[in-house]
Amino acid sequence: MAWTWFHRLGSSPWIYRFSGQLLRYLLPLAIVLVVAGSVWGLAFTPPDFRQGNSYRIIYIHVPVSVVSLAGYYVMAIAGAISLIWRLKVADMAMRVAAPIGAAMTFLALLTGAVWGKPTWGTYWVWDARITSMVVLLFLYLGVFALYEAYDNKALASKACAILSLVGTVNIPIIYKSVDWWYSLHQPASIKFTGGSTIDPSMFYPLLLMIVAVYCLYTCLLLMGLRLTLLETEAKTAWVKKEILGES
Amino acid sequence: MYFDSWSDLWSMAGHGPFVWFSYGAFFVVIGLLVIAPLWRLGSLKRRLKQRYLALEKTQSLQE
Repeated sequence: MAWTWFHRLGSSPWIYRFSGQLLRYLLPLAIVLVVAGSVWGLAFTPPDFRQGNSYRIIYIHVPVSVVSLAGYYVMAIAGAISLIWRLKVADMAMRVAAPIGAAMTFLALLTGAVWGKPTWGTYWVWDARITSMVVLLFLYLGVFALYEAYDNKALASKACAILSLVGTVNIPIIYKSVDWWYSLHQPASIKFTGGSTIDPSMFYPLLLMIVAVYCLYTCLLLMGLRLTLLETEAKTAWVKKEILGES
Repeated sequence: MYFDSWSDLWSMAGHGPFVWFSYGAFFVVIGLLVIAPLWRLGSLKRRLKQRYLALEKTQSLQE
């Protein structure tokens, strides 16, 4: 039946092998795209008419910010799946997504602060966009810390899944914060509806970097998942076969 | 290239330190994020292999 592929998602050996094959191509592709996008953004795009060259930080700041928000949905959806269907791979994905998301959010805040200095005259303001991003960072770190705090790991997973799901309320707040409140942060330059306020010569390298960081995020998630699978299922026959079969 | 020289690219009309720091931080963080799981996976595989081989050895001795 067409739905049998769905059952494979519950099979640890299948996920381990499939993600290994996928990573063989996706990781080099992600690295090439990130390097190409960075070089394009740094050296082959015109400067902004108002911000000069400081705007080049956009090619890092926007992709990591977009992925830090999308990564939260990944974590929350994985948490919901593990809560509802008790799929252990979903539980692992939720745990793996937390530190990666925290790193992406940290990069978004850091590059934003560094961009703020030449543009706004300050590294930091406690406005709606930045404060809600700090909350996002703490949500990611919270899920990570909460799991470590419990001895009973089944209970820890449940608590983390609930925290992830409750935290999703923050994502639309972050996204709409620049429209709802007066903010130093500029509104979105790329819009799904209506015209984007960014020139094609800047838009295409930005789009490339967004795709590149999404690919990279997928790779990081899969690498973390493979590591967690081997760690937690070290006593099973398939892991033994996998390890001894490789040599 | 948009810039006339390498030194122009480096200084970016005064914005160089901000831009290069951002790109530097990005590459350091993603470098760590990529290398750490690969390194941990490699060392875990080595440890597991030793454990399995030691287990097989004791089992064969018992037989």
